This record gives sequence, structure tokens and C-alpha cells, in this order.
Amino acid sequence: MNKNVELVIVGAGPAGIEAAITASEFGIEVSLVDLAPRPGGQYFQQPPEAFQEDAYVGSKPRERQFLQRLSSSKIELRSNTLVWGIFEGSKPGSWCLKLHGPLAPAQLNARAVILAPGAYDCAIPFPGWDLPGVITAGAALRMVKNQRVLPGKRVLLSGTGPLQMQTAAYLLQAGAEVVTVCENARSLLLRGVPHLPSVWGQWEKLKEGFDFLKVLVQARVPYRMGWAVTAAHGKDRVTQARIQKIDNTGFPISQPEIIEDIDVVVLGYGLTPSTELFRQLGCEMEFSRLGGGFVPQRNQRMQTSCAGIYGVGDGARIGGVETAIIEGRIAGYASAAQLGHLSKEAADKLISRQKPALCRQMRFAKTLAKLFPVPAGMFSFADQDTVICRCEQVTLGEVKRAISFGAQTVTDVKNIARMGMGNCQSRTCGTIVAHILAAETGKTREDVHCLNIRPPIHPLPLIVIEEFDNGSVKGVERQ
Amino acid sequence: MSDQRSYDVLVVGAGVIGCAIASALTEAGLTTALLDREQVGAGASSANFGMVQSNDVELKSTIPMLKASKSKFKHLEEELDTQFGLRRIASLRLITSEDQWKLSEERAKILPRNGIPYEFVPPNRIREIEPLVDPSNLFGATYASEQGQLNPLLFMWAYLRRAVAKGLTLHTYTEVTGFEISRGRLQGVHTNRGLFSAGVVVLATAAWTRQLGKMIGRDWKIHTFRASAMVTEPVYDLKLRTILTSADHIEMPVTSQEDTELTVLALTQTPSNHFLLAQADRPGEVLQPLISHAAPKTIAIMAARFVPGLRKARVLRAWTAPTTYTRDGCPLIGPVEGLDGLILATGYRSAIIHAPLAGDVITQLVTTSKCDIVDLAPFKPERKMEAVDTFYTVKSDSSQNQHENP
Repeated sequence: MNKNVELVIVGAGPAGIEAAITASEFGIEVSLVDLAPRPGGQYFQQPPEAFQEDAYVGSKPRERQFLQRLSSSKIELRSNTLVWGIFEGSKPGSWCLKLHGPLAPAQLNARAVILAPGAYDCAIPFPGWDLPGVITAGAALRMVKNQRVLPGKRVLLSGTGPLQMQTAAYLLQAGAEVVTVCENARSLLLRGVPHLPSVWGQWEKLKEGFDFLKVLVQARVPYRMGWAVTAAHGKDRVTQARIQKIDNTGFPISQPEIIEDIDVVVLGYGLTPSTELFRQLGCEMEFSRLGGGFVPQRNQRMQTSCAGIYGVGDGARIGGVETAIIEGRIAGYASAAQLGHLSKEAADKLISRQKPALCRQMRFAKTLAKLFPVPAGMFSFADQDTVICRCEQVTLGEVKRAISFGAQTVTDVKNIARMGMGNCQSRTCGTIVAHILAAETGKTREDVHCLNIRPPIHPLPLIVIEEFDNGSVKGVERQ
Repeated sequence: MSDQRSYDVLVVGAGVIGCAIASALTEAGLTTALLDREQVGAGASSANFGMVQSNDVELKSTIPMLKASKSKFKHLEEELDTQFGLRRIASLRLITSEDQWKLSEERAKILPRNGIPYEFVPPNRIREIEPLVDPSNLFGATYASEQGQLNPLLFMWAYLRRAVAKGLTLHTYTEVTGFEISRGRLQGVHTNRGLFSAGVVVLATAAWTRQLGKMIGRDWKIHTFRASAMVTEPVYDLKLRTILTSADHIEMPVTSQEDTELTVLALTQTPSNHFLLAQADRPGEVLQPLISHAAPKTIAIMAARFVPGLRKARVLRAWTAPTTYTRDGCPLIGPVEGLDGLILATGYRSAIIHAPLAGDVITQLVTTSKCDIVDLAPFKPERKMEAVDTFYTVKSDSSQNQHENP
């Protein structure tokens, strides 16, 4: 099955929805494809339909309104659907997207594609980080906000940035006991002063942060600045954790303290852009320390080096929800112009009107990234036997052996040690190995490059790739 | 450039052949640099099945060289001090018609005479050799019992590590942009990182050779096609014993009826139980390694046709690399006529089996200006290619569509 559409948008989070609404208002036929059962992305994530609730705990009118605009539009929404690869189309200037999902055609063809794939959590490896019960902040939020389950009763958080404070507050409100929050940044107030101008005007954000802080203060949660979890212990699941004070470069400086009787450790070390489709497509990438690592090069119109492929939101560069929405709007205008629904001059005018707000939001995002860095020393917590690549069970010792073989890039480490060759295609270990390799060889993150990503971007049964009618064959489950 | 970049030999292309040559040159005491436009093994060398393959050899001229190179594998893991997983494995090529068999008849006469087992097996023996295959619609198969396989990435890195230990300088992300020629002799190469000078330059550049030749007005007859493959996650309830290939192929257009993926079955299971699936070939002088929309699909169709049990196996990734063929099926090895200081070592049909000897041959050429290890006359870079090898050509170049293995 093969379907043509004017514009495909991948990812129904804030950026993708805004892009879809903007484009459809110019009369463009839009197909919005999303992996989740319901639209909203990570930020506006909605509970499963079976819960019979409209929105998640703590949702605001603005968010409900956002999703209502989507449902009242003519946009074709394809939920539960994976775009597993994007290829050169059979007609010049067209792109071919391979889909997998209930009722989805195997292939969508379009001249314009906006990628809004969002971001996922970073984790840092330490002994025991692969124990059951050690989870990321994103996972914890998903459990609490979306699935309404507590990941555990006694929770220890370690990480950095506002997301970790937010996670702690949600866990508390949902009934968990937050034993301690380790914030690896130190003396925030002092370091924050030079950044005050960029925070000016972000009242909504500041109020939100203040509300979360109030929850933590009222519950008298111990908040340790400049501390981090450096090991997790337990037999079948985590039961205790080792925490240590760290210096500005992330290296442990204090004697370890043991936190007993915990059942969950939540790690929140910021976000990594989900750049798989950009890399699979062969878009030119560039390194952005504050933007979350390697990100696609984009022009003012949010277009990547591939003509007709746009990138918006956290998946193209970490910038937060407000940035994502503005970028989505810009890509909506740009694709409308590309597809002939809007003159180039009119599009340029509309896009330039978005610029001041975009600059303001980007400044704020950069400030956050500067205030809450993940310093290099934090990648020293792992020991030789710590598994770095979980899919292929590659330990730090094996990664270091590959480096001693002469590996200069993350691809070299992959080729020698098989890291990143498993199910997740290096989503978790790719950045970690880049840090380790850079530290071991004295290179920069940029110099060790990033890994290629190949289709399918998530593992799929051969029968799907074959485009065999899987309805008639039993025993193949959708992954 | 401020630093001195002058070497006895420059090897261009850090693939399996380039790494093996670099290792032999440094072993011989020559100051050597290895250049690559990207990272180590960025072309076809990290995209293949690791076949130590002899059953697809070009029959007229290449057998002596292949045999000499194959014999060097015996102690290679000890010599290079790296386990790269070398194992013996049989190859089984499924045939659906008598006509297909006739194209292999000559091969079945010549190869066994040269110590390479290769025979026709009827359908009832196919199941014995490979229980996963249903032989009911088959005419038979060709069976080559002594083929080999290894981990191509570790094999390449084993040579590279040895070379670096002996003093090799590796320059990755260094792309040749031109040749420095004076007084009728090659003096070095220009790159995006400046000039590299050397007494001799060796091109082990596979699919990139043609465009490098054009920089000095040469039209080397080495052609490109993009070959694709896939890998599944480990599969434990299916056990494939052989390298399974088919004479049958399917064809699917990519951008037009002239631009197609031509796909045969090529299947193997690694010691870690992953299935490797290939091979879709897309002719055309294109070096971009982007996979087409048709390649994964056609590979999946062929694999499922012959081994339906694979349908439930999850595919981890699919990839493409530009690789080469020549009309007469022979590589381009030796000095370039009329330009002292330039040697080619490229266009091998099956690079891995030829890698060990490539180092010896090139080192002898560099140090003595001749080669008595094998007769290089059939491999002269600028020979006339009249004889058309029918065994491995791609549609754009001839009407034949014969494939053996990846």
C-alpha cells in the first residue's frame, strides 16, 4: 500500500502539532504520524484512552486548548505508527517514508517532511546503573503522569536541571517518599547571576519552577547541591545507593555515603535529541554542546541539508517547549511556501516575525544548559565491569580495549567492540562512549563524531520490511 | 602545512586491502602513511559478510593469486595476535532451472582441479546439507564445502593495529583532492589537510578509484554498484549451517525502470546467531552510501521466500556501501603506465581472501619495482578488458545477471 500526501510530519509533540496546524491552515493536506497511542508528545502526554480522562494530572488550559486545536483540524493523525525509515522517493524531489502501524499504508510519499521526533533522557553509567529500579526522569514522569503508577515507594533522585525538580515534585504528589535529591550543579545562585537578563521575562517558567520547589520544601526533601549517585547496589533490584560530593568537573571528592532502603533511583541528566531519522537520511550534522550533542544543520527556515526535510523542536536541538512551538510554526510557513500554498515573500515575512521570540527562547534554553551541565568527570563513575552498551553487553573494559586498539571515533569503537549494534542502535550508549573516548584520547566530543543510524530505526520483524500482509500471518506481534 | 608530511609510501584507502598493505609496508621498514577520506573501513570493508570466498573467483587469471593468498590464512590470527573469528563454512547456491546450472558447469570443472571443492548436488542432498531449505521446487544446488568466514571489522583492525605498532601514521578524514606530479613522476597527493609527499602512492580506493583517476585524466575501467545488506537480532530457534545463496534474482525499480535493485538471496548466521541477509545491488557510478527504499524490501522478500521461518525475526538494521566490479572480473593491480610512483591495488571481487597477499605484492613492487609472487599481467590497471566475465556483472554493464555471493 502506497499513499501520496503533500506534507508528512513525524512526531505529534508541541513542535509537530504546531507545524501541522500552521501548515493545514494554508490548505495543505497534512499527515501527522506519531508512535504514541495519543498525541501530545512527552510534554503534553495524555493518559491512555481507556482511563477515560481528557488530560494528565496537572494539565493546564493552554495544553488542553493545544490538543483541541489538533482534533478540530483536518489533519490526518496516524497514532501508534512508526516511521522506520525515510528514503529518496521514486519521483525527483520526493521522499518516501516507510510506516508500520495499524491501518497505516506501508509507504507515504511526500515532497515535504517535517521531523519533530523529540528527545529522550541521558543517563550516566555507574556500577549498578543497569539494575532494575534504576530509571530515568522521563520514565518516572511517564509512569506517574501517563500510566498513574508509582515506580516505587522510596525514591532517590540524582541529576541536574529543572526536569529533576519537576520529577521529584510529581513523585511526591503521587505519594512517593523522596529520600534525597542529589543535584550535581553547585552554588546555583552565584553562577546564575550573569544569566539573569536571559531569564528576565520567563515568568511562566519561573513560577512553574517555584511551584515545584514549594512542593519539595513543604515536604522537607533533603536537597543536596553538588552531589551525585556514583553506584547502585542490590541483588535483583536496587536497594541502596552510594552518593558522593563532586567537584565542578564532576569528579567525586568526598567519602561515599550509603543511602539505605530505597527501591528506585531516578536519573535526570538532561536530554538527547532523537536525531535517528536525520542521521538515517544522511542530513549534515553539526555539534552543539548546549543543544544536546550532534544535531542536524538547519537554515532560517528550519530546513536541513536535505531539500524538503525540515527539523523542529527538541529532536533537532534541545530548546524546550516554547522554542519547539515557534520552530514548528516556522517550518509550517516554510513548507507552505515550498509546496506553493504561500508566496516566498509572505512566508519570509511571517517567519521573520517569529524571530525575536525564538531568539528570546533560545537564550533561555542556553542559560539552562549552561547552569546545569553534565561535566566530563561524571563519566568516570563506571568501573571496568560496568556494562556500557546494554543491548550487546559491552563493558567499560571492552570499550577501553577498543580504544587501545587505536579507535579514534565512536564508529571505530562500535566496529571493534560491537557497542551500539543492538536493539537501541546506540541511543543510550552512543553519547556515553563519545564522552569516554574523548576523555581517553584527549579529543573533543566533536572530533570523535557520531554513529550512523540505519533503517529500521527501531527493530521490526522481517515480515514488516517485506511488506507482507501481516494480517494473514499469525505469531507476529507489533513491536 | 607546517609539519613535515613526507613518507616512503602513502596508501590511500583505509579499508581491508589498504590496512593489509599498510601492515606489510611497515613490516618491511618503510615509513608509511595511510589516508582515508572518512574513518577506517568507511566504504565496503565494514559493510560485508566477512566471506573468505573462493567459489566466485574469476576463472581465467585469478586462481593462482587467490590460492597463494588463501594459504596465508592458516596462521594469520597468531601472526596478527588477534582472534577475528575465522571459521570454515560451506556455501550452497540454490538453482531453480537447468539453464542456471549450465552457467556454473565450467566452474564445477575448473575449481575442484585447483583444490577448491565445488560440485552439483541434487535436491535430495540439499536438505541433508541445509535442513532449513525446502528443496521441492529446486533443480539442485552448487555446493562449495570449504569456504570461510571471519569478522571483517576485527580482521581489518588486526592489520591496522599491527601497522600502527610498526610505525604507520594514520590520517583519517583526509580526502585526496589532487595529485602532485612533476618531471613525469608522482610526488604526492593534495588533500583537504594539505600536501602529503611520498616516493610511492598506492591507491586501495575501491569505488573511489574511478574519480581519483579522472583527476589525472585516466579512465580506469572500474565500476561501482551499491550493495545492501541487513542483520537480524540473534535467532536461536533457526540454525543455518551454510552460506545460502540463490541463482534466482528479483528486480525492483528505485527511481525509474532503469534504476533498479537487483536482488539475490545471500544468507548466513553468525556465531552469535545473528542472521546476515543480502544482497540487493544497485548499479550506477554513485558513491553516496544511502540505502534505497527498495533494498530492504527486496532482501526481505528473497530471504522469506527461501527461509520462511525468518519472517518473525526482527531486523536490526539495513545498510548500503558502494562497491566495485570490472568487466573481466579481475582486479586492478600494479604500476600505472606512464606515471612513475603510482600503484593501484583495487577492484578485488572478494577483498578479504586477497588481502594477505596484496600486502606482499605491493611491498615487493615498491621495494624492487617488480613482482615475482604472482603474474600481474592480467591485472594491469590499463589493460584492454575484452573478455567479459559472465559470473559477476551487473545489468547496466552487460546483459548477464549472474551473481554468486556478496
